[in-house]
Amino acid sequence: MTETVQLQYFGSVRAAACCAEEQAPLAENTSVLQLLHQLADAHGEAFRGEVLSGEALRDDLTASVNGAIIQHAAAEDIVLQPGDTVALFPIFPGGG
Amino acid sequence: MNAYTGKILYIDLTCGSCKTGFYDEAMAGDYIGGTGFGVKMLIDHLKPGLDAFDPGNPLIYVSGATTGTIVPCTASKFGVFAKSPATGLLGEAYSTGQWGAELRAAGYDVLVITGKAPKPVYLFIDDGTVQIRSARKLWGKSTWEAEQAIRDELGDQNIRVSGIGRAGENLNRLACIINDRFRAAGRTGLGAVMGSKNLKAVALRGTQDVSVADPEGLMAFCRDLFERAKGPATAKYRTLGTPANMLTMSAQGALPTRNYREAEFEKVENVSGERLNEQFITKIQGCSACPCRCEHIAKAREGRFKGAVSRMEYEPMMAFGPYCGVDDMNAIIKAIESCNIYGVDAIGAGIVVGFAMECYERGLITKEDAGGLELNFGNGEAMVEMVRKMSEREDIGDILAEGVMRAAEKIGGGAAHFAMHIKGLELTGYDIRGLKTAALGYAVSRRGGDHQRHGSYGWDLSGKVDRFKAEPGRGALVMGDEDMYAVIDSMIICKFTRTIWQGYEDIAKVYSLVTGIPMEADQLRLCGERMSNLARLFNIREGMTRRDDELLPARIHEDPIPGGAAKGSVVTPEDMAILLDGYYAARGWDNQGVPTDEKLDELGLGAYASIAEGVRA
Ligand code: SF4
Repeated sequence: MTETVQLQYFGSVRAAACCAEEQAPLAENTSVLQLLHQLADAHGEAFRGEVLSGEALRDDLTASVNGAIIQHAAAEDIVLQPGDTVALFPIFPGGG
Repeated sequence: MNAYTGKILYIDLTCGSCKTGFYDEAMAGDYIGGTGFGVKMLIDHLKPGLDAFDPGNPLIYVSGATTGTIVPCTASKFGVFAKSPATGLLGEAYSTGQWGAELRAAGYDVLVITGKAPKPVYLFIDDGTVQIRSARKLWGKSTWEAEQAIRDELGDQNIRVSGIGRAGENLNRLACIINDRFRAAGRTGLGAVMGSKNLKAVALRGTQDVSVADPEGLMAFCRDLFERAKGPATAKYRTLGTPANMLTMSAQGALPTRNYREAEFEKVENVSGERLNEQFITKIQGCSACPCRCEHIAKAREGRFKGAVSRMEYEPMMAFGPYCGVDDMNAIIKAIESCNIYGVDAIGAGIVVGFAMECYERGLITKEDAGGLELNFGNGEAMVEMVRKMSEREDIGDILAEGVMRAAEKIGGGAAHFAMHIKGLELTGYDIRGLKTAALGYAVSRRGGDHQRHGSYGWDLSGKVDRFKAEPGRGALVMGDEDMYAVIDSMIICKFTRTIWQGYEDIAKVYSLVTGIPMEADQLRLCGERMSNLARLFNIREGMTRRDDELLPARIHEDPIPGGAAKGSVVTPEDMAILLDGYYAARGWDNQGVPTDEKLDELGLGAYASIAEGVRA
């Protein structure tokens, strides 16, 4: 059986993904950053622009794994496990 | 000078006199505009220790360096300053819309309004001429009615008006100043200062050109900025807008709910940005010369509040939604509309109503006190009515109009424990118990409990730091944010578009192109630091000490977040000591938060050193 991770999208990331939640297949030893690239390949350029800036996580994006916000610098080191929940949130600099 | 008019209009309402003053290029280059001008004018013109409602408290309007030019997302901004009746410290608020551009076109960069008119008046500044006109027929009117009445009286529907409603007339310490119907110089109670002067409004008509030093260079750079402003960096502001934060903050355990009892809201889907956009938004519009166009205008669709209209942002939605336990979007839209009409800060007003609801549920406010309202969490109709009562100072609204800090003292019974303010200013939409960098930013914010002077929640929420940990290094982060925000608020750049600017370099470049005054990135950073230090000196002169920075609301220190992603979080006094020591050290201040002589000399603030000397041990 293919292993999966659960994804939750918020705000403009949700709009770009055209869904609030989904499951994605998870290959062994996939990092958070690799997963985001995999999702960007699947969802297209609008989604890529929402979550990535070049190769790295976009500065004003929050990513959490199982409810804990991950540090951007660690995105390529954190290896996901089957069944993990990854949530992606845009942040709004400037308050409002 | 280019861009700047170089003119300050001084108006004394007591004797009805006006005079024009001038400032020079040195002042422009050192203080930029907006924040810099406001803080400098206030510290120089306020007699120390004066009450905020004393006629001598100057109400100061300032434009930004690029106000009135084509620089995108900056063209329409202005700031208002005075000693705050909420905090007794620096009062400071910014607005946008169309009024700011009109001020410069009318011939002035700064208005300094002192005194108190014997009877209600409004000012009409018409291309360099000034009239003090009777507001007898305007007093008692809402902000929207007064705006229309002024336009009708002056026979020009294009006149721009910045004025107060009933809240300002009644010296409500949360009163704001409204322009262009939906725009507010919202925080720190400056509408009440205006009311204390018997001043209903400042109306403007301006047709003067604003010159720039290098039109071709500016045009070329602005083309690039316009493209950036229309691009992905700001897309989320145009689509869902800041209300998208509702779901995000709740999922992060950072959404202040029921007066900070919780940090997530079980009915958040009903008040989400997604729900708002699907069902309530009727149009999206923008400020003068802004390609981003982020203003989401919503209309209540059904029920008692059908037809109410307001501009929707995360902060007021949070305050009248989860903070009051209300999930009826129609009531939230109506409450925000009421704030615009009565002229009251929509963030602070929601926080006050949430506080009153907790008092009610604990039996500290009775139904009789509330004028017959059942003020339970979740009662949207009572919430809306309470905004009116606060503005009119009716029933318990009279006490609540003083803000949560003073209201808690009067209500007693332990209400101070859950009066959510810092230095007298109500908190905003980030539960700082689980955001330690933001906790420091709020604690040292020069205008009290506020996110807009530093934006340091960004470090916590983006995962660049451990949000749950207090570390000395956060001081340098907050300092960097504050100084950058001071520069942004001096230009004045809309913060929603700050990501289109690549640091101080871009801002310095635009500044030079517009004004012709040479400016490098490092110099500009120093300007920001100068403003932060001068604001600190202002607050020290008004009696602020380290103790005021340490004292967060008791609930923040003692009541852990009960569930969700930040469960168990508090900010302990030990956390605060670590954070403050780190911040003061980063700033080059002593351990009581007082700038050193060396720091003041470095920033060219030696003339103000006596303020620091006066409080040094
Ligand atoms: S981004 Fe929004 S608030 Fe800012 S200037 Fe543009 S329209 Fe106005």
